[in-house]
Amino acid sequence: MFPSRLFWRPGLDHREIEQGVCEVFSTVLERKIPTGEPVERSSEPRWDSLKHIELVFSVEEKFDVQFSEQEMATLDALSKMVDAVRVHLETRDSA
Amino acid sequence: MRHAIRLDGFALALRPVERADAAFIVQLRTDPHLCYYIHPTSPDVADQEAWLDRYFVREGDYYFVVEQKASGEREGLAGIYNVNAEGTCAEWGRWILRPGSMGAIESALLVYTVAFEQLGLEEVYCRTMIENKQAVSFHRSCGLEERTILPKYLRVGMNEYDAIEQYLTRARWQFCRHKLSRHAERIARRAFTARGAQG
Repeated sequence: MFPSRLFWRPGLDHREIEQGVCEVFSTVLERKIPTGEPVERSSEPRWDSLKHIELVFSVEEKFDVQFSEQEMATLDALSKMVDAVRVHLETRDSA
Repeated sequence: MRHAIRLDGFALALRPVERADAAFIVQLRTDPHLCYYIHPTSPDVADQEAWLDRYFVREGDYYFVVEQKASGEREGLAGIYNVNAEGTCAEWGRWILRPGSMGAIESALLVYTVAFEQLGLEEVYCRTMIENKQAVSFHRSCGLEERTILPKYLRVGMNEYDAIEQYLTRARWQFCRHKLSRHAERIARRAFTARGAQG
C-alpha cells in the first residue's frame, strides 16, 4: 500500500530527499506534487489524520528513518518532513 | 444515557462520560483551535453539567471519553446517538481530541467497534460541516460514503453552514477495519515505546 521502495543511500542531498518526499506525497495525496511546491496540512484538504499517518509511515519506510511520536505531530508541512528526514540521515551518516 | 460500555484499544480506550468530565468537555469544546466546526458550547461548566444530567436520562445516546490506557489521561470525546427506533442505525459525532493528539484513527476505530460489535448497529453516519474539509476527507479515507448535503445545518452566531452526511455500513466496515487497526496499532506501539522509555 505504501509507495515506498527503500530510497535511502549514504550521502543523499537535500534535492534528492525533497524529490523522494514529493513522490510519497503525490501518491498518498493522490495528486502530482512537483518539487518545490509548498504543501501544508492546514491548507491541503486531503491531508487528514489518516493521510498524515500514511505520509509519515511511507516517508519512514522510503528513507529508513523513524520519527518520534512528538515529531509525528509536528510534521505538518512537506518542507518540515524533508528537513526532518535530512536531520535523521545526517545523524545516522555521521554516526 | 448512563451506560457501562468500555472498550480497550491498543493505546486508547473508550469509557462512559461522567458528570465529573464536565470541565474537560467545556475545555475542549471551547478551545478556539478546535471549536470552529462544531455546535457552539457554553463556557459555563454548570451548563455542561446540566446538559449531562439530561443526557444521562436520554435513551439511545452513548457519550464516551477517549482516554489513554496506560495513564487514564483524557485524550478526547466521542458519542453515538440518535439511535433509531429499530436499533439499527445511529449517528456518531461529538468527536473532538486534544490539540496535537495522534488518537484520531484509534478513537474512530473504537467508536466503530462499539457501534457494530457491541451495539449491533447496521449503519452509522456522521454529519460534518462541509468547510471542515479534513474531517470530511478523514471519514472518506475511513471508507464512509457520502449520502446527502444538509443545507444550513449548523448555525454559528449569525451564520449558517451546510453539512455533509457520510455513512458506513456494517458490511463495508468489515473491509475498512483492517486499515484503521493496522495504523492504530503501529501508532500505539510507537507511543507506548516512547512513554515506556521515559520511565
